[in-house]
Amino acid sequence: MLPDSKVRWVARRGRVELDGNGEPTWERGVLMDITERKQAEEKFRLATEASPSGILLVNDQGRMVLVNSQIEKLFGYRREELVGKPVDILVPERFGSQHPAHRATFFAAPTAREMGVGRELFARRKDGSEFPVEIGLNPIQTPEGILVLAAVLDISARKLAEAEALQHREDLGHLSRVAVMGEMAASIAHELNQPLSGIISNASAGQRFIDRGNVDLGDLRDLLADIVADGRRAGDVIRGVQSMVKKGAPVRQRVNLNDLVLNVVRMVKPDAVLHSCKMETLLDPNLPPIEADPIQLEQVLINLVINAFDAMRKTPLDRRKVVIATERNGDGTICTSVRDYGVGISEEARERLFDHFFTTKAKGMGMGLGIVRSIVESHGGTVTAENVAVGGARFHFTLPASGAAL
Amino acid sequence: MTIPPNSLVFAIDDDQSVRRGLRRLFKSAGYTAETFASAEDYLAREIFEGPICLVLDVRMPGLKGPGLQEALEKRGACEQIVFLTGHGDVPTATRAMKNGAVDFLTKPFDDEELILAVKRALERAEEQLRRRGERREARRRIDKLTPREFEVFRFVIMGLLNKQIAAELHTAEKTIKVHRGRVMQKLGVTSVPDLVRVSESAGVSPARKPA
Repeated sequence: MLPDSKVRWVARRGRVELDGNGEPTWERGVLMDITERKQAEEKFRLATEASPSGILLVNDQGRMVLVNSQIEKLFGYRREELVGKPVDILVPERFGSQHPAHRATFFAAPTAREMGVGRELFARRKDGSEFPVEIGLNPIQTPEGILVLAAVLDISARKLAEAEALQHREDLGHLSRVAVMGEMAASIAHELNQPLSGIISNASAGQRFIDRGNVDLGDLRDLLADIVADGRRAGDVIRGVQSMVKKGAPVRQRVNLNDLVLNVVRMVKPDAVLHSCKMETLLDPNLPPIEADPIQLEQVLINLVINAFDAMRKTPLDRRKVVIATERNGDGTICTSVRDYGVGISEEARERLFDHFFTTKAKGMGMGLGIVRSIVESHGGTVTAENVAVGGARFHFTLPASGAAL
Repeated sequence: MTIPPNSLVFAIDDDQSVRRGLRRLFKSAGYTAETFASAEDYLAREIFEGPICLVLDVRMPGLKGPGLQEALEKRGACEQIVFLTGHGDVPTATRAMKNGAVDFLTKPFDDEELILAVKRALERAEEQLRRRGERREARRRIDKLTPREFEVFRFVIMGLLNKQIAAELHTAEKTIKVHRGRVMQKLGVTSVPDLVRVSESAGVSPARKPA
């Protein structure tokens, strides 16, 4: 305290000199006025407290030296439970092993940047639950060495909004597919209803004539001939629908399945992120090319991958993974498989899996695997599905390599 | 099941095999049926005077909807309509029923249902024809009344006594009594309730609304 009653902060450093009996006699040292530093620290503390983001200060040992109240709120710890502890306790265990290495890299070349660009970051609360975050990193030079200021932003709400937007888009897509199906169904219905009406009218007329006991065999023969003709006609309608669906001469070009797989992985990436699902590929580097319609085969893979995502809705985040593999079978055919870690295939679903209009999904059309089978078979291949002993399902389709006999 | 005598079923459908099937079905149920490929073909047929059930496909080619309705009314045959449709099309069905269709069946229809609908349609057509006949007859008789008799007729069906009618028309009660006698005679009735029935058939309203 100064004579003008202003308070100033001091740091005292010195040493006590002792007399022969070991009693202190005096202290020799310096008294430093650190008011400026103290004030700067106080400003820094106020600034961090006022920040809407969670703020952490971490030293080069990876220990937290300062946290603001936002961090307490976000993570559910009290301040004193965090200060002095390794920052890794805030990182989910599945990322935890890599975290010290990432941190070492950062301290080796500290620059302000966003953490984990292009990756999904998650933070772990005291109760073990996780939430998605964005983290900004800033190195700060201090007398105690380099500290890292980490600003943590909880992006759960944004992720939720994104997920809802995607859901909405999916719903719209579903609706338009249903609408197109509806129109097609209406015109097919009309085409089929005509011969069916003829058949019912003729057959029930025939029954009445017989019941009345005055049936003329010649009339009955004509009547039955009409029924047969109408039955044939209904068959033609069905065949017409089938050829309409197939539509035109098939496209066949030289395709490298590995390239196609990587292409699909790129296409489904946004969905994979949304489902917090890892994508892995195990590609045979010596794959021979095949003759195929690349768009149709992409459709096959996309359908299988989307199904895999759907099958893993209840799988813990750290187990969610889709593995796409290609390999040669040794008999000139190539096997491509899509494996998930989801619920697997139930016994009831197994038999009808590839039927059109069969679905186990609440909002499914039952078209996905039906299309998969149609496309694979039109390429001279086969598709099968199996459960994997350790959990999940594997779908694989086998296609003849280029030049192999169909 | 009794079929209204001297009635016909006409079915219009552009599909030949449906036509043949329908013709046989109606025949097997005891109806006399004719089929046409379009509404125009049917309209070109000589008018049949008995009760008619018209079986129409909503999606038949050519004239349909309000245009057909109008053409049928102008022609004046006594038909009731049963609609068939290829697809459960609710707005079309609603419109058809509002316009007085007897029934609306979805193809492929149930044969019993269709036959029942046709029967209902023919019964309705017969009833309509009967009312139409009564109206024509009542009109024919009313046309024989003099203007003065017609005036008295309209007061009588209001329920007025001769004395009251005389006061309304500023004439003697005796004169009204004579007019009333001639009205009863010309219209072929013997009581006031019968007189009221004739007026209703012909669509003649009382001089004023009864109090």
